[in-house]
Amino acid sequence: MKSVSRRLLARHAVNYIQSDSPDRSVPKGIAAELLATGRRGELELLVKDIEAELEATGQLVVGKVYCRYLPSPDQQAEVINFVKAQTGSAKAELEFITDSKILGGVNIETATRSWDLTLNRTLGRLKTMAKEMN
Amino acid sequence: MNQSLVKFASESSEVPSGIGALGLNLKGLIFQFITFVLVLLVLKRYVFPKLVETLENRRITLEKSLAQAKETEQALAEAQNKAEEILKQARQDADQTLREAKSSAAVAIADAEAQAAKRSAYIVEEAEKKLSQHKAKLQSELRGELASLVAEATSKVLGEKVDAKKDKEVIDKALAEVNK
Repeated sequence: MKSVSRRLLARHAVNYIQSDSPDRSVPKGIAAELLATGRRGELELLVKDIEAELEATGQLVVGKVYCRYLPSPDQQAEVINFVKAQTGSAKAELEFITDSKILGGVNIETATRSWDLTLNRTLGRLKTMAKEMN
Repeated sequence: MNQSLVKFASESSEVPSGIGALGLNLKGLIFQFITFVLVLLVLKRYVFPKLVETLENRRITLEKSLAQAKETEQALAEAQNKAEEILKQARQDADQTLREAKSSAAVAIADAEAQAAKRSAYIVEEAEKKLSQHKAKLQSELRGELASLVAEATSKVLGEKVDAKKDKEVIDKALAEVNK
């Protein structure tokens, strides 16, 4: 049986989301396609492909934000606005995750882009510059 | 003949007079004179030529020997002179050879010294080059180590010093920087 590519499936899913149709047959069909072609393990990848498609169309950007301390709601809104401005998307859904390894700042990752605004990165750059100095 | 001689001798033994008074015996004198002349003639005829010839031969031989001896002496003197000359020349040649050998040795020694100095200078230069390369490498490694230590120390300090308020400031600054 000839399988449909993940990209096509993702595009199909995005079209469905854009149509805002109550019909649940599209997501079921996509799931069935994956099962029938034995690509159950590619579900996570398909989700990422759908996120990438949504980001490319400018409809929605989904991502994760890693930080040391959980930002205040105002600051979270700032970050969301930043991502929307950078990607040109109308909407942004970001998950804020704390990570003790981060010294300060934020590390934003979406389906297609990332912004490392942490102190870790700055320190790393300083370290590289110091090593390369003559 | 003997008888006449004896007779003559006896007559002459009588008492002398005239010339005999002087103590001279005329007959004896004449007899001796004749004898002398006979002997002389005999000698002259038979002995003297041979004697003279022999003496002459001897003289000639002696003269020849003398001449030869002279020649030999001359030759010897010449040979001695030549030998001396040869010796002198040989001494001169030996001196010259010694001088040349000394000079060559001095040149060879000077050359070897120059080569050794050049080689040692090259070795020193190479060693200095290697040393400076090694030094540069060490410095680079140290710099890297230092940078790592500084980064580690800084991260430790930041980890302790950055609180939620500071973190907010950091995030605001970072976002503003990107938006520029």
